[in-house]
Amino acid sequence: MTPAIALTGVRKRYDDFALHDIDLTLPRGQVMGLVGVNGAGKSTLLRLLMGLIRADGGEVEVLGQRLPQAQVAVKREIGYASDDMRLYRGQTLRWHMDFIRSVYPEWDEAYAQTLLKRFDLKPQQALRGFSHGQRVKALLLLIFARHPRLLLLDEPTTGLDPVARGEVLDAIADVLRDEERSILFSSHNTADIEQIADSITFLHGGKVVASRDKESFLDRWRRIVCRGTATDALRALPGIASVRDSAPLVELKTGAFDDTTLPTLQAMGLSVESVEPMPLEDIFVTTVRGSHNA
Amino acid sequence: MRNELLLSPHSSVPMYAQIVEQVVAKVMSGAWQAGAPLPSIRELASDCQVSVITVKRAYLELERSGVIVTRHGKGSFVADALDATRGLATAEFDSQLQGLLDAAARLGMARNELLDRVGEAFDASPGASQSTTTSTDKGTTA
Amino acid sequence: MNGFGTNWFASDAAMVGKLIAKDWQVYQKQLAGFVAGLLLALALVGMGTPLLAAAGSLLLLVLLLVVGSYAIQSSVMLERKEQTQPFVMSLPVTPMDVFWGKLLANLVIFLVPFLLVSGGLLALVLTTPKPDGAVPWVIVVALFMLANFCVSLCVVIAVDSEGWNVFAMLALMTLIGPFLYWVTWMPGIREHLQGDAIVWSPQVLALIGGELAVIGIGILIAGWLHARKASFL
Repeated sequence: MTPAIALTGVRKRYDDFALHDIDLTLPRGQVMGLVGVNGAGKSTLLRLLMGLIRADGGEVEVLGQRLPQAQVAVKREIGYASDDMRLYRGQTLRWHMDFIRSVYPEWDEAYAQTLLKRFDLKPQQALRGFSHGQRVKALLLLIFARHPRLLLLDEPTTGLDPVARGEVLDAIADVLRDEERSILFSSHNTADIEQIADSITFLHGGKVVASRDKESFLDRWRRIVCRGTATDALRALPGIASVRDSAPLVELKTGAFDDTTLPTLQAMGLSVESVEPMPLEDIFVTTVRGSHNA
Repeated sequence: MRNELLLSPHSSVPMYAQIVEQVVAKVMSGAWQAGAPLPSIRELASDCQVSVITVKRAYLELERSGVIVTRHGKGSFVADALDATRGLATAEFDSQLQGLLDAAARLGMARNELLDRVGEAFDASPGASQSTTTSTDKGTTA
Repeated sequence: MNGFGTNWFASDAAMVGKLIAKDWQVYQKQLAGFVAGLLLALALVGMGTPLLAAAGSLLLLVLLLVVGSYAIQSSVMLERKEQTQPFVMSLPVTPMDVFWGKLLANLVIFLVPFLLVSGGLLALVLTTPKPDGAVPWVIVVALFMLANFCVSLCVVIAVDSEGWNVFAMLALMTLIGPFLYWVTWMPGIREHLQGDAIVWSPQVLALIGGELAVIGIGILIAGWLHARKASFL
């Protein structure tokens, strides 16, 4: 079964930024969350997948077709929304809906009406009167109502109030029903990714730092509090991402937790007080801070 | 008809475990009857707004405990009455076992010591002489 | 992927048509306003006294200029600033589709007032007691305005910098005055202006040919530059 997205050795260079050797696969029917700080390359990656920019090297295959050669065919099936996208301020939402409907035969007017109510948007209002949150929802409505096979969403919930965020997640959750449809979205709201993504890709400095299914990714991370002293040997253990000590306790965070971790700590003379999983947000911050100190 | 489990993203219990607990609760209470079909993985994921992979993991656990059975190509079903009861007990056992393992880990207890302690406790318990070693079901946990 | 061949043409004519319709709809209200102004100016020209006719003609030229530059600014430059570009680019289109869409949309939007003015002036000259010899002059000036607009448009489409776009548009506008003067006093035109015969002198034909050539070359260069863009951004 051809994957929804297959990137091999993709490179892109700008003056002050570059994407290096990106290998990424998104199987069909899955949701992938893209995590990374601002400037890590998330938006560049999404634009590459849309055919808006052309890679300097490597292969970009979306829905089984090569980009940028097949960009028109591919864009027919993709719904793309990004932070820097704006609609025509002088036109109404209804005008935009009619325009999209004229371009895409898969437009589902009934579903569009449902979304209008759910998102609480007025179709006869001109876009200049929309708040930020309403504008984002309008853009997403225009995409969701087409039932595209692949959704590329750049920060879909960023800047939205909690109610609007819930509505957007609801619409994203609708897509899960169809095993032929896939989603790749980037978000600072790591809670969104933790909740709805099947796999997580971590981007930092233009490189893929990690790309794994969510459950096993989260399974590998633990925050462990022990009694003892923090030694260099401890800090040097593979997978240890952060060590903090506040006598008599030592807190460590590891990204390589397995059956051997606790016995190893024991052998080093530490007595384990508590072991807990880490939320994605904590993993994200710990990883980024760790790479700065490296 | 939406199947909505009552899940909390903020709980310290991992999401897949919450799903397992709630399905077990539904089966125990009879809300989901023996032999009844379960919602498909995708349906449940969509209704609860959780990822498909999490629901898959939960279903796998439930199947391992015998609470549900999956028929290839047809979906998952609540196990038959007798199997379900045993399955529920197994799920309870698994959950207790995990708690035991967590406690042992906190003490830094090695495998051998743990097994020794379990063996001693087993020998000392009232039901010791009765049970024979019948480990017929899904194999032993590592 | 560069230069001529299949990439030079739009990938989907229907899609280009939709892009043109979109720009037309976005610009409609402003266009109506300008058309009203142009009709008023035409009326002034036709109303008789030389002073009013001169005032009216000047108003016509100015309005035509404003319409042209406003169309370019709002549909191309403003679209860049207002960031509606990603919206267009996410549609199933190639960069060349967008090029042809922008070019043709702006031409159509400009042609409405342009034909109104040119046709109106020609009609005025031919039907009123005014000397018919002015017809070639009207055509030469009209085509100059069209060429001016086309070159402005091509520069704006081809070059992404707002600063250079504005510079080019203003520079081209300043050419109009001198051109008018040059053409009105040119041998081959000047002597026939007051007469009643329509004379297609060699100078007139050369000028018309030159203007059409400029339009053609402008579009070719802009198209070639655009076709070289491997991506939108």
